[in-house]
Amino acid sequence: MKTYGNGQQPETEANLGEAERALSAALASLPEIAAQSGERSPDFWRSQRLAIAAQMAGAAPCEPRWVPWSVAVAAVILAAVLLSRPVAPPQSQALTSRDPDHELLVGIEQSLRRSVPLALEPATLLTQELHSATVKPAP
Amino acid sequence: VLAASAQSVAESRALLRAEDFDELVRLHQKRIYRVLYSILRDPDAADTLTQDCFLRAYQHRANFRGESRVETWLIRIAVNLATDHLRSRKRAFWSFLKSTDSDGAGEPELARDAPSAERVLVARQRALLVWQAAAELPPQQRAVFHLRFAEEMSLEEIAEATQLEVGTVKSHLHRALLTVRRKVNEWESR
Repeated sequence: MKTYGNGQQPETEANLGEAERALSAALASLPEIAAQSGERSPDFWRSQRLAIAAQMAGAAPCEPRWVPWSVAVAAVILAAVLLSRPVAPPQSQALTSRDPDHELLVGIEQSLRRSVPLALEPATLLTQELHSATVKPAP
Repeated sequence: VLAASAQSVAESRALLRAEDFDELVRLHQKRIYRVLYSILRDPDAADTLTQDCFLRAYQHRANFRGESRVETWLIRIAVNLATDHLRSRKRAFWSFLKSTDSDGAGEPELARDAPSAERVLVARQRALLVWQAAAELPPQQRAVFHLRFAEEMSLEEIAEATQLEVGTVKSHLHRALLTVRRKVNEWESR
């Protein structure tokens, strides 16, 4: 024995069975109702086909799903490669700009460190070689 | 069986070619419209979404792998469009206004001069109440309910069309039936 929650009269098993059968019968006639409700005139279907054809003519097929993915993956790889490259240190202003006075000073300092002028270095080396050969004691 | 299914897949693929797409529309437009109308109860929306359904199928025809029948694939697209449409709050608001404005306008026109036996009339009225109650179900339950009882699709076909598990389809159907039964009882007891 079942009762309605809102305090209406109790529903017997027989009534319940009948209600189930009635619902089943109602459900069985739904295809017919759906078919009737979906019926339209031949003109309607024709104009719908024309509208679809017109939209198809103006629409290009979508790219396959892998196209945007492959573009995205390529972009990520490129970004990773660019980010992983060692960053060259910025060249100092002194190296990039040429200051003739500074170059002259550097040249003078280098000359002072040497014992002989730069142009005479080969001759000096030859003289040193000859001197060492003559100074060597005979065995 | 395998040969037959391979043949049907080949036929489906052939129909999906651009030059044969008109034939595909001709074959399936009535059913797609009926499914959409059953779920939406709005003839304009059903018409628009039928067009959208075929346009989407045309644009994505390369994605059809022949794992299901082309009709099931089209119904899947239609059901997705319908549930998206129903979930849009803005549209729901306007359709609510429309339904309160013209009460009962969405009910199908049934022949008034149907067989006069009282029992037949009562059964028909109850069927209309079921039809009306189904229109108030949540989107996914509504879709599953109509595919099962109006389109007489199997649970497996519904699962394919809605991309749900068969168990989930059963659960939706069970809840939908409970709601429909309760509403019909309420209306009949008035």
